Amino acid sequence: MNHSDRERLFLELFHQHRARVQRLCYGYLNSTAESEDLFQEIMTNVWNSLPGFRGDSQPGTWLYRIAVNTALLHRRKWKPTEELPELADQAIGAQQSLEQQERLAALHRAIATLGDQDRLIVTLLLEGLSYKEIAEITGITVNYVGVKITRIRQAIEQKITEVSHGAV
Amino acid sequence: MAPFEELQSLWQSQNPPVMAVAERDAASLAKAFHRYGRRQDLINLGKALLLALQLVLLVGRLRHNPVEMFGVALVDCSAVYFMIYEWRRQRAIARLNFAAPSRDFVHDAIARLMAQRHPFRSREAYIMTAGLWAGFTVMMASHWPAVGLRGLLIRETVITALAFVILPFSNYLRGKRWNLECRPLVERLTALLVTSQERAE
Repeated sequence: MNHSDRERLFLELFHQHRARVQRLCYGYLNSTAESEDLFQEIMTNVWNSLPGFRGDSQPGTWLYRIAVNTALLHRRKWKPTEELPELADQAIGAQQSLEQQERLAALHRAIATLGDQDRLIVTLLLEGLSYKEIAEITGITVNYVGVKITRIRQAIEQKITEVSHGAV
Repeated sequence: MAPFEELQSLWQSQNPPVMAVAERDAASLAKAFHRYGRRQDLINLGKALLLALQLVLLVGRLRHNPVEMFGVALVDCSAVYFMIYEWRRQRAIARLNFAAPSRDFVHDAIARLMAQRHPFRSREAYIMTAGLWAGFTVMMASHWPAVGLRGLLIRETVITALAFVILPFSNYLRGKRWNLECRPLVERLTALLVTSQERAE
């Protein structure tokens, strides 16, 4: 792969998946500043890994796999005692209605209570990826993805219900 | 209870947080270039120290042989000349300010880093090579005076052949160093170019 092919492929991937990957970073870390760093790290890793991309899987799936691995490694670099940063509400889109913004903020808070892998799985699910794709990206079996997603959905819906009833 | 599908569409409709290249990237890039500069400083200081040590040892041994001393001085001056030239270029790279980089500025920074891959393709490198060749010739002429034309030819062939051994080895080492020190910076800058292009669109 020469430099121009590499740059073209990188641009294509960047155009198609930027917003999704940014949401994944933000959903995973809950911090605009941290998610910027993570996004940049992911894009750097994608650029570095492009020469090794053989096209065995869909480019999107391949990119997500890099994103997920980078995110997990990024999280491990943090000190064990370090808590996840507070959710920055202002980062949520200004175009949404107040009710939607509240619901989205509640969703982010609910996601923040999950474990590292679960946060990644739920962000992938929220992006509309199939169980099979999520399994391929995260490296766990489709059945286990199904089990995890059932639990995660229940936990998230319960949290959001609690928030909407003012229990939290 | 909020249906999950509704949350899914809400999630996908959200604008991802704005990724401003501005200050954070500038600071992070400046740090990376500063680290690069510090590393080059240490390497060059090490080289300077080695040269000084070698000079002290040779002056001690060759102080009664001014011709050979002159050869050593020629060799060392050539090496110092090229080292200073390179050091200045590396310092210039380390001082690059990415606070408000234009595309041309980033391209220029990439070009400067790429030039570090082949430092021996420069006028200064040719001058250094000529200096080394002359220095070694003087040293060997003093040490092993040539006997006739044949001896002279053999001696000069050996000195010239040295360059063909040293240069590929230096290039190999440079390649290794470049991959370690400059490639990550080039890749970051290229990614920055791509990102800025995307934003411009």
